[in-house]
Amino acid sequence: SARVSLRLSSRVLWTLAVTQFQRFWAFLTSSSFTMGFDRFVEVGRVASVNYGTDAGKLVVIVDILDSARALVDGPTSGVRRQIVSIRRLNLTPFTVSIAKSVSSKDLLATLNAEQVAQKFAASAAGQRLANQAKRAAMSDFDRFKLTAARKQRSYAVRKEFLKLKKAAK
Amino acid sequence: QLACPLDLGCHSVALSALSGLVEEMSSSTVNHGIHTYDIVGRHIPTEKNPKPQLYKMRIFANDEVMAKSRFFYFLSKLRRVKRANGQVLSIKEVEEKNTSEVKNYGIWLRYNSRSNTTNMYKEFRDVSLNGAVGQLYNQMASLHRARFFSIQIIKTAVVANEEAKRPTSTSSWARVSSSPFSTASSAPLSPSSGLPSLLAAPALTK
Repeated sequence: SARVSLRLSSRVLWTLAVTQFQRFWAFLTSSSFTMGFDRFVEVGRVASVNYGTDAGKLVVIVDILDSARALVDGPTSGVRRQIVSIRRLNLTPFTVSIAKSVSSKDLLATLNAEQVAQKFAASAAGQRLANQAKRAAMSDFDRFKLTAARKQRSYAVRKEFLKLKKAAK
Repeated sequence: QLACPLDLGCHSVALSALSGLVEEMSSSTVNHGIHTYDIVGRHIPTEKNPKPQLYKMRIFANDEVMAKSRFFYFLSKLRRVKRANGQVLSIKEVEEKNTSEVKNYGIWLRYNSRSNTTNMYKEFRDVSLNGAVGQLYNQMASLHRARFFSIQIIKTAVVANEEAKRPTSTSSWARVSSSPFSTASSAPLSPSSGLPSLLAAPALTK
């Protein structure tokens, strides 16, 4: 017939809705549904400890206990395998491919092979930690040198700025 | 490598003991102080019975004093032995064999509530049995206001992920596979598998 029937049966409508929802559900449960998060608490995630005696050190998440705690090991930074609150970890963008029950020795070998410590030291977060450590270790003379350097920099900047300002008039 | 902050001329032995204590404190992060003890005891030998039967119990307590107390508490309920006529022959702390793997611990217990006593089965994810039992006592205190002396631990066991019954043991982080990291298997806090039942059997009324 020339006329297309627009009155779809409710059964057909239901099936259409179901398939649409099934596709949406598949998306929701897929690994691409990250809601914009890109660093996960997972086995093999490299993190830095942000509180406690081991603050600033690199660790790897070896296993997860529950939503608040993780089993963590840092053979490259001298952190013993221990349970740590996830709130005490700053996740890095680096992950390591390890099994759940990996030994500290094997973990150390994997970390050295992938040069995780070096990659982290070169990253923004790693450099920030290094600079923080430098600042904390400054002596009074270092602070004096820093002030002198900042004054020299601001003098040079100001000189250039006034030149440009004069030229713009 | 503990540097004595005050220069009191600390003896090196005391320093190393101190540093050992600090290490111990930092490694047992969330232990809640519970230790496991194997206690062997018996009725004191009498003329009638010069070689009384030995009894061994595995007790969870904070220290040896509490452990011996619990030992006699349980033993006097089971046998005609009480602290006055009993003796502890050996008390040894039992150490966890492997503290580098996370395990699911199932704990069967009975506790006295205000009105009656109930049985319970609880599961905890931890690296050691001491840690799991510590979690248990804390949870019983917070959820049921049960004190240490009201709780009797009947049985503890390591439960595999497949046989675990409680949500904490069966959720996605517990099911993370042993194989090397893959995004799909270790996506955290993903919705539980299975479509809603509404979709499985649509009931239409026409």
